[in-house]
Amino acid sequence: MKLDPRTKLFILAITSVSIFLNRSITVECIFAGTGLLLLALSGHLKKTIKYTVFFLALLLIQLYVVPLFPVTVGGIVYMFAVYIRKLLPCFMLGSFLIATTSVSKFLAAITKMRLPKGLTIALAVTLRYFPTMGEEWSSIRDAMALRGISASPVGLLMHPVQTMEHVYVPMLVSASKISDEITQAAITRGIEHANERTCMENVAFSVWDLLVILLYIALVAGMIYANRKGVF
Amino acid sequence: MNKANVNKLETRDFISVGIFSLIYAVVAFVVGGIAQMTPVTFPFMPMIVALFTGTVFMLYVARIPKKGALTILGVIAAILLFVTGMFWMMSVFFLIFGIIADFICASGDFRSFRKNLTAYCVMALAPMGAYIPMAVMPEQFDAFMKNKGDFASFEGVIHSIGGTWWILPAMVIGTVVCAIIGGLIGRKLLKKHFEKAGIV
Repeated sequence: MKLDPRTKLFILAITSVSIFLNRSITVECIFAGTGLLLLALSGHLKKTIKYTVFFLALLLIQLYVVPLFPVTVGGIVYMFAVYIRKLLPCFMLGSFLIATTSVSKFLAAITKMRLPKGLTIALAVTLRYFPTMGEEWSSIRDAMALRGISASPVGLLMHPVQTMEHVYVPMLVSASKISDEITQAAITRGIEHANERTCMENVAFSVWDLLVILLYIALVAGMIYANRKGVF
Repeated sequence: MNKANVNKLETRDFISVGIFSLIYAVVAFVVGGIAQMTPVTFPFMPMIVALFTGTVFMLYVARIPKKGALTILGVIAAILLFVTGMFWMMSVFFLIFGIIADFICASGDFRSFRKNLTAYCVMALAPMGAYIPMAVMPEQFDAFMKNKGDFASFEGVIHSIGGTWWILPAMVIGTVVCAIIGGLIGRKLLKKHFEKAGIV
């Protein structure tokens, strides 16, 4: 089952909006379950199990632990548990989107959405720069360690401004240089060409996309029904 | 740099926008993520983030002083937040505040530090979107407890937890103060390092 990135964005949008409008726990479980199913079907069993355990734990806290506490403490625990749990279905779909979509697929889909070209370029650079930034960060940390400066949270708390300086200056300087280099490379390869560009990746909707979208529309309808009827 | 008279974004600007937006978003993510992990620091997330993103913001404005750049920063931050499954109101806030910050900066021609700082204060408020559900949740908690039938009514207590009227303004003021500090640190670093190195 291969879904179009646009479908994934769409179901993510539906889920994140409806989960906070929803009042029924049953509906919330169905939303979470659908997300888990998608994750499992795409072969990410470890993540599926992790999210399932986390979700169930937070659910049990709300149902069984919160009433045991006095009201004030219970309220705080409730807020925390429920808030995070409501984000979980979105986290699931988010990690489903990230784990199953290559950057080039995602960009191909974004291009097809006919956003302004500048935004597409900026977004492409953003996504491509991710791994580079990781490398930069680990070299900066090494360099700091060599000079006996700790980049750990403790060091950050002790000397916040200094640590910020030590991390930011090399990171931003190298980012500036890299952005100049990327610009030159991109212009050489004709990024300023005005015509519509073609793409190696083939992005198209399939029957699966239709099914998943229909499923989510049904879920939203179910949620509205449950809200009306006050289902638990 | 030497293109100060050209006020339209070009390819090179878009590429800078992409890279610096990522740095901005990652800093906000990492710092915000750490801040949100414990219930005690949870409400302080926007303030802590505001302290740290100041430098990136100031460099961003200094490097790409053109209209539209901050809007794209908002859009990219919104997309990254949305795709990772964060609460969608935060994305909406980033979109709106990005556009507002863009207008404020543009009105000062991107050179007025005061205007830039004001814009940063606006931008720094975007993570507040994460707390919108908190306004709705006391009610749901109330309903949940009533469903359980353990308590009759304790709206007063609930409101003392989440619905107190002063929490929101207090958070906004705290965030603005932190944003000003963050912005000042940013300007200091900018003067000390980046201007000397010829990056701005």
